[in-house]
Formats: sequence, structure tokens, C-alpha cells
Amino acid sequence: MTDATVTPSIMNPRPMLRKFGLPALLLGFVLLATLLSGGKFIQPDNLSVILFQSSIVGVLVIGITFVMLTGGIDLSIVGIMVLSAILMGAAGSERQQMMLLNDIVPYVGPFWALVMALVVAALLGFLNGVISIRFGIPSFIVTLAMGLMLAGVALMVTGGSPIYYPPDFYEVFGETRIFGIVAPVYAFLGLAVLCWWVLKSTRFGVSIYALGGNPHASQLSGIPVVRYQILAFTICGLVAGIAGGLFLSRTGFVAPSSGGDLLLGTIAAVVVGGVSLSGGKGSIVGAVVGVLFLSSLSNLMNILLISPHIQDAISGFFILGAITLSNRLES
Amino acid sequence: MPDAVATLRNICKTYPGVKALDNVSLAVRPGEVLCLLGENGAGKSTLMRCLTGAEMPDSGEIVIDGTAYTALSATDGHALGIGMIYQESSLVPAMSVAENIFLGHEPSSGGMVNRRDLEARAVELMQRFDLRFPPDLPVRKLGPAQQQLVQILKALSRDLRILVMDEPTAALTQREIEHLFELVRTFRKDGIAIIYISHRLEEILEIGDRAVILRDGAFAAERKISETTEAQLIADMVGRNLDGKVSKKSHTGDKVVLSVEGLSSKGLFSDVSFDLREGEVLGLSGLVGAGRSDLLSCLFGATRRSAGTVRMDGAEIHPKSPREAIAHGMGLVPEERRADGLVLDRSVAENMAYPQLDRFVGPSGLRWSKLKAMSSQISERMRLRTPSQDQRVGLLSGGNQQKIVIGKWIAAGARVLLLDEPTRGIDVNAKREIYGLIEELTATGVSVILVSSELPEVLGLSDRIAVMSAGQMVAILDRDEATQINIMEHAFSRVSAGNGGIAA
Repeated sequence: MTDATVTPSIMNPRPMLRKFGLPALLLGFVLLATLLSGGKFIQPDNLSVILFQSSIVGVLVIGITFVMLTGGIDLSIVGIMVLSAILMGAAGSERQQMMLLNDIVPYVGPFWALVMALVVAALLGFLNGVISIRFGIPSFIVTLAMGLMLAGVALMVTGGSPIYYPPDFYEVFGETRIFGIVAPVYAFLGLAVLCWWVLKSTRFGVSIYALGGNPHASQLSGIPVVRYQILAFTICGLVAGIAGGLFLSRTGFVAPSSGGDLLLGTIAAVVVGGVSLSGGKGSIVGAVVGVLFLSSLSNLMNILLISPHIQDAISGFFILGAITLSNRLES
Repeated sequence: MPDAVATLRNICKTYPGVKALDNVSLAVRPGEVLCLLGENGAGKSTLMRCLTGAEMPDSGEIVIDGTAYTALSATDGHALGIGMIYQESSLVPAMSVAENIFLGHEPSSGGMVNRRDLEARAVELMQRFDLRFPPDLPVRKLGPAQQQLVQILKALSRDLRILVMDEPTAALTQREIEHLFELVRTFRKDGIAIIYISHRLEEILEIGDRAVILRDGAFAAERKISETTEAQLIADMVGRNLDGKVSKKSHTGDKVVLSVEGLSSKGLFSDVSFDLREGEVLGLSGLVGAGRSDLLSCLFGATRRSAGTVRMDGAEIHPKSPREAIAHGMGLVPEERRADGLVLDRSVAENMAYPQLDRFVGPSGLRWSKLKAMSSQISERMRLRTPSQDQRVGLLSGGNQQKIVIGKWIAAGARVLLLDEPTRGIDVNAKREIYGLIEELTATGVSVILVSSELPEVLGLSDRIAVMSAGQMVAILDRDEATQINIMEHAFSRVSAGNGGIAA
């Protein structure tokens, strides 16, 4: 053999760490959190709260993972989410219609409002993809502008006031419990499993990793690179629309300003979860673990009665630490 | 004999899963050209990275001017006068020639760069070596050969005592190589120690004083160039005697598979016509920039054609993307295998399957077991050395990577293979395996267009040899009439001064 002998991976800790490092870290954190909180953290009630609190960011993270695997980014994801939620509320509820300050959004009934909002969300994602891929403009810029524009559209269609009366079924959905866990959590986890499968077991999924890793080589191997890149943005938009529905079911209302700092939280969670900003590396499992880690952290700080004034600083510190660690494992 | 400027002693370096260097020692003396030889993965580049400070050895020491270091940093390397010209360009494309030359040590005062001084010093440096580039020209506007020279100037801009050149001629034409050798001889006279890494043995015999041969990360042999032969060096590298000559039986059939007429691509090549028969190897020779790679990429649908017709099995085809060309049964092995041929972060199995993922989609998603079975079957046929089908391609050696690039087209059942420099930068053994594979494939009726800058390779493998010069096909020679001399004559036939992108 001309090659140097290759040791089996079992003898080398790095691939093992790479594969299981993050879940192991999460487990370690859970143990530590349980000790620190005197067992409160591990209570089933508390865990279901964490899952519930993770569900919206979790869904956003799943969507943005598709785009980031292609090497792009979607900064309009929260804008799409908020606008979809507004459409679901404004076009789906007669009561809300009477409250609206203008007639831009017509009443179409709860079901068609949901369909319309999801179609709009997917179209916006598609538009992001087409502009950025076809015209070769970095997605960072395209989606930043799109996000700003959507924030403006949200103000325009609502006249600035919040949507207080979305159709009832969002609230019903948000309060439905199966085995003590609310329905949005199942939606989040179900979507995660579905997307994990798509990335692992479809032609599209395998191709996404290929073109994120090396677009030119993928092109020369006959992978429809442009089509799949645009599809990734479209999926991301659609998933952001679904997050809009979950937002309504959790809070019962939505305002143009509802996005808040969700975008930063989403990107932080994805990156902590090991999804590379340059494309081709990462997984849904990692991204979801990233979300759960950050939610658990903030939950623990609440249990420990840590002042909200310093919580952000602590979170930031842990995000930096986690990213540095996962980077070390990668190289 | 003068004292060594640098001595590497018992250097060891291990990467995850690979022992890259095993107790290697090496001394370089001023004013000599020390050639470092070995197959890919033999440890040449790693050893040099330890010397320049780009890599830390696990153990051993580096002695420079009597001071022993256990490891150097890149800054130490610069300060001690060690410069390296890498295989891949280390220039910043958007910056000017002068800025690139002095990158990291710009003439400045109080933190401000003095641009006029910078350019004046760049010009002065160029004049010393009889080179002329506009100092304010962005590097991206230069051809690969010229960029190579700028890299050399960059190394020379520091007080240089050791210059490491890693495959410096890979992208150069014969004339440019001559010029490079003149430069190397000047350096040698100036007392600079040169460490020269190349797979091209004829170059080593021409320019080298001494050769050190590495095998599997360990010292294998040392030879004085004046007392050795090509066969001896090859034997040292592979550890056994090998006949360096290539020759292949002809498997050309009667049926014309691919027929090209008047094919043009604006600004790249024009009016190219030829037929390719079943089982035939058509060599495509010419200088760098003559349009050979552009012709392949146009046939493969990766670049636009502006005129002409292409027929496959008599029917006209118009591939507008590689995807369509693949559907017609073509496969391209691109020149830059890492950049264009592979997804380095993904597994062997995935890379093998990319052109035909559809084939593995079942009702419940991708059938990984079927995909991996295909991949291991091809791996076996190609004698691919990989611990598993899940191995990341980036961790394999160059020769094994190239086998995957070719293997994926075999798996996809390509009938016309477009090979662009298929053996560039890979070791002797892998090269022979790839030659054998071409033979095997053509025997089953696969047709090949082979672009190669190594004339013995083209002459040994091709049934006919087409020569391109400055964007036109100037000759198609039969195997028995082609010689290195008449090929080169045709290749230069349309190149006059200032034509065809030839530097210096």
C-alpha cells in the first residue's frame, strides 16, 4: 500500500467527538442544571416548558438550516414569519377584520387564510432564492433587504396595530395536550424528523450537502445546482410561514414588531448546533440540539433567579464557548 | 562543501489516521538545488511546511545557523529567510503585483504604506530578474504562469536564503519552464538554497544537484543527480523497479461515436472539427491556454458554444448544461480535481453517486445500501485505497481522489470520457493504475479524449493525437507519425510573440 495506514476511527477520539460531542455536551449540561436547580430543572413540567419555548425558534432553525447548508443565509426569516402570522390572523378572522384600520387584507376564512399565508411565505422564500442565485447577489444582502421590506409591509397591512383576534383554532391548537405536552411541540419535532429525513434520504438532501460543499464540482456532476439552491430558499420561506402559525398559537396575538430578537437567537442556535456559515456542513439534529441548549440555558437562569439584566451576557458567553468548542472539534 | 543552512533532524508528524512523517532528516546547503521526490502522500509537502513554519512537527528539531528549534512559526520562517512557493497560488487576486510582492512587509512609515516606494521597489526587484509586469496591475489579470513568477518575486522580496518550490511547473508551458530554470540557476549562483519538489523527473535531472527520495513518510534514498537515471529515481520512489514507458494497445472500432464539426466558443477556440471512434483514445495536445480545456468544457455543456455541430451516434446534440451532457453519456474529469471534481467534505460513496442519484431513489427515499454497494464495487475495480465507503474524500491521497472522479463516470456508464490532465500531481503507481484503467475501458468500447501536458503520456496512450494552438485545431496526427518534436512544432505554430498568453 502506498498510502500511510489509516487507523480505524474507533481509536481516534475526534470523529467520535464530532459525532456525539454536542449531544454529550447537552447531556452534561442537563446533569449540571439538575444539580444547580436542586432537581427543579429535570421536572417533566419544566422540560415540557423548555420544549414549548423552543418550538418557534426550533422551527425557524429547521428552515434556515436548509439555506445555510447551501452556503447562503436567510435574514428575512423572521420577517416572513411575522407577515404570515399577520395574514393568518387578519384574513382568517371576522372579528379581526372589523378592527383593521384598512382594507388591504380581505376576509377569506380561517382555512384559506392559513393556505394563503403559507403560499405567500413560500413565494417570498422563492423570491429570495431567485434574486440571490439568478442574479448572483449574496443572500446576506438580498434577505436583509427583504426582511426590512417585509417589516414595512407588516406595518402597512396592519396600519401598525397588533392582530389581537386570530381565528380560534390557533389558540385551541396551542392548548391541546397529548401526554401532557402541547401540540406545537409535536409540530416542531414532527417537522424536525421530516426535514431530517429529507436531508438524509432524498436526492435533494444529498445534493444540498454536495452543492454546499462544492457548487462547481456539483454542477459538473450533473446536480441541478441552481434549482436546488432556489428550492432550499423556498423551503425556508415555507417553514418560516409554519413558524408564523405556531407563533399565533403560542401568544394568541401578533404585532408587526413581534419578531424582536428572534433572528439573532435563531442564527446563534444554528451556529451553536454546528451548521457551518460557509455551507455543506451541519445537520438538523445538530441545529435542534443547539436550540434546546440555548432554551435550557435561559430556563435554568430563570429557575436560579438570575437577574434578567445579566442573562443576555451569560447567554452570549455560552454561545461563544459552544461555538469555539464545536469549531475545535471540527478542525 | 559549504555548511548546511538548515538541517531537519528526526522530524515526526502524525495527522489523524496518517503517519505523515516518520523520523525524517534532511540538510540543505547554500547554492544547491535539492530535489525532494516521492509519490503523493510520501510527506514532501508536510516536511516543507515544517521547515517554513506552516506546520508544527510532533517531534524532532530544525537547526538553522546552529540554533535548534523544536518548531518554527510562519514569522520565524520569514525572519530566517525561508520562502516557499506553494502549489496553490498564495496571492490576493484583487491586489496589485507590487502589493502582493510586499504583502506583510510593505515599506511604510508610521503605519502608512508608501505606495510610490512600494512600486519602485517592486520594479527594482523585477529588473534584477529580467521580469516586467506593470506593478499596479491586479494579480487576477495575470495568467497562471505570470502569477507563479509573482509568487517567486514575493518570496525573493525578503532576504531569502532557502527557497522551497512545490511543483512550480505544473501550470507552465515549456518556454515558461525554461525561463523558470534560468531564474533557479541565478538563485543558485547567488548562494540561495533551493528545495525543488516535482513529479516531472526530466526536470529534476535537468535542474537538480541532489535528490532525496521519501517513501511513505520516511527517508528512502539519496542520489547525486549527475550519477543517477530516471529509472533509478522511479525505483527509489516506488521501492521496486518499474518500466517508465507507457504503451497501450489500440481498441479503436469502426463506429464514429462523437462527431464534431466547426465547433467554436467565442474568445476561447474556433472551428474545431474531429471524429471520435468507439474505443478510441484521442490525445489533445497543445500549450496551456491553447483552448484544450475549453473545448472539453464546451463539449460537456459547461460553457456556451457559439457555432458548430456536435453529433453523438449520428444524432445532433446540444447539451446546455453538464446535466444534459451526462444524459447523453459523457463524463468530464476536470483539470482541478479538488476544486471542480470532488466535494471534499462528503464521503466516497456520495461522490461516486452524484451523477446518478436518481438511480438510487426508492419509494422510501434514497437506498443507501444499494448506493454503497455500487460504490464499493467501483472502488474495488479501481483499486481505491480507502478505509471505508464513508471516508471523507478530502482525507484521501491525490491518486485515490482522482480514482473517485473517474470512478463516478464509470459507475454512471459514461461512453465518452473527457479527461483533463488526469494524472497531474499524482504518484507513479496511481498513474500506472489510471493508464491501465484507460486501456481496460477502451477495450469495452468507451471512447476517451485525453488532454495532457505530459507528452510521453499522450504519445503512449493515444490512438491519434490532435494538436491545438491558440484556439484552433492545427493537426491530427496518427499514432505512428507523432513524435514529441512534431507535436511541439504544431503546438507552437500559431503562437507568435504576444499571442496565446505566454509569459515573459
